[in-house]
Amino acid sequence: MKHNVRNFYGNALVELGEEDQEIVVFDADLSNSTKTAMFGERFPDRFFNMGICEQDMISTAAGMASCGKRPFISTFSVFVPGRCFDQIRMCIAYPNLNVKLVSTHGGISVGKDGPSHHANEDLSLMRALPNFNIFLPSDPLSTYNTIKAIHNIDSPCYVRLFRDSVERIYDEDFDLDPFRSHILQEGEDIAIIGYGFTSHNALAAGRLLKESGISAQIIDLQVLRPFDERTILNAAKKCGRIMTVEDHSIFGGMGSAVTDFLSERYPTPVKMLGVDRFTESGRPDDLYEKYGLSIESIVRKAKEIIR
Amino acid sequence: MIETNELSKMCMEIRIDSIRMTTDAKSGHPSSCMSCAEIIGVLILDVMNFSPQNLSDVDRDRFVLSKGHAAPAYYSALSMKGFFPREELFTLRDIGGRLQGHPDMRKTPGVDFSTGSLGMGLSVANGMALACRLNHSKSNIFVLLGDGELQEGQIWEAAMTSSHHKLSNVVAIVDRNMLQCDGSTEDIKSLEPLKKKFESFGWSVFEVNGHDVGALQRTIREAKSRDDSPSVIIANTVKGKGVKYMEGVCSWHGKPLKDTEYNDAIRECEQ
Ligand SMILES: Cc1ncc(C[n+]2csc(CCOP(=O)(O)OP(=O)(O)O)c2C)c(N)n1
Repeated sequence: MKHNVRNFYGNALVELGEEDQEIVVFDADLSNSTKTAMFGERFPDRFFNMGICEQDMISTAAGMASCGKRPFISTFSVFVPGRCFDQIRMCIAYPNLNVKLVSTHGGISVGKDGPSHHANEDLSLMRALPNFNIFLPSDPLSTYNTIKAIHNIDSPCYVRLFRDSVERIYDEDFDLDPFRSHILQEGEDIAIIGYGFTSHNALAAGRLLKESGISAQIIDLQVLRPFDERTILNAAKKCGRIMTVEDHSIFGGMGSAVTDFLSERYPTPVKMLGVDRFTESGRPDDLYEKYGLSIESIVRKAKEIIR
Repeated sequence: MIETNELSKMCMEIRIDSIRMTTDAKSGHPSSCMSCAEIIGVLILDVMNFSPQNLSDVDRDRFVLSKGHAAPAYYSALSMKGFFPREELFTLRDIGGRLQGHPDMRKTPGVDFSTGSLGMGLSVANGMALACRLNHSKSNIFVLLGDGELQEGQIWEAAMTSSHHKLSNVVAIVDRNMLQCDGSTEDIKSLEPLKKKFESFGWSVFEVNGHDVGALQRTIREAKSRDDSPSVIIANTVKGKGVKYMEGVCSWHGKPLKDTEYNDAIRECEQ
């Protein structure tokens, strides 16, 4: 059964709202899509729909945080951080305030709305900011656990969710640590790292590769900062080759982060799959195929690398 | 309430400190401080319920210096209020120091929010006011805006937020010195009719001579007692106020006085 991860975000927010009176939630006229509306219905006094004012939303939430409130902010990944980067930098990152940004609809998963709405640069922007932790949940449990866990850290966090519905990767009762990267399939010929939606394609590709005699280690990154150095280092040592698969630009995204880390610690060839241009409207599946993120593209690329 | 003559002298100290600090640092924005020395002095030294002793009090007032480049004037007032020693003023902009070029809430005692990128402070003030409302606190939130700064779109997003939520504990003060970095606000992108703009955004608007300490004391108190809408005070000021050859001269923006100029300038202020 497929699930919309945003519903698990909405549920987690409502639970946090029950537990913690200091939680406040902000949205910029997309609360039905981001699912912050669930919080808004339950706690109208602590929900602020700021209208289509992303810059104002960020600084207002930061002002609240400076008085001890714990804000969560949501809109589409293309608008936060894109529309309000300076506000995030000045009002949240620099003063290191406890504000959580949970953007939804990352990458080309948005599909038919087209390149104006394809968020392919948000991670590059957020990686450049000191003090921010960055989380990339992949499935219902991963999303829920991430939201519950970041509530306990007293510093800024960016969480990126996606639009497509997905199967569960982790069983509901699995004790999933959202601060770690997770090995979904063991292997030794190549390590394939995904996050969010691409973890699903990477896992499916790993299974197909196995059938053709290639043993791929599949990793669901889950968290970009703090970076799970141990898991990535072990994968590089074991497999000697890495492929990163991301629904984001290859300029400054997760592939870059993996490459930055390995080039210092254990130089390893890394093939980065991701976009390098403005994309176009289309069904997400067709876009994933055309821009090299589909299951078949991942299999094809892995075979090329290994031969 | 501090006696007006006494407070006027303290405001002049803020002006003189700002000139000294920026000359000493060989960088900074003295003329931008000189236009708001009285506004900052009246707020921090007189009107605000705010001191090193009551920082954790939920009902204490808060201040956002949205035109963050006037930091020297802010620091001078904070040191008078006892947040840090006077000698520290002359570490402005020094490496390893606590007095950054623009306000840093994590480094400088008494600073309520970090600023320096123009256009954000009114939103921040609204956020503080909303937090106070949730906490049933009686704080007033004051924010000082540059007039050129009002060209930022975010200011008007925030102006809508303040009135939409009827944030009557927000008092904005505009340092209306008619100048920005490259010239006159009315030549570059006119703000007038400014009063009407704010009124049409649902604000109560006051106008005052921003160098008249007594008038500021009265007007700010009146503005904060409004309980039906946010208030803005358009404070008519002169950029570079106090030193004749700097007054109203745009090219002094962001320019400190030289060592050779500054004794005369301070003497002129002290007269
Ligand atoms: C977003 C942003 N753009 C540009 C600047 C550079 N800057 C610093 S001061 C200034 C002019 C400010 O004019 P005004 O708000 O009228 O203040 P004042 O004249 O009182 O100094 C500019 C453009 C900045 N600090 N922030």
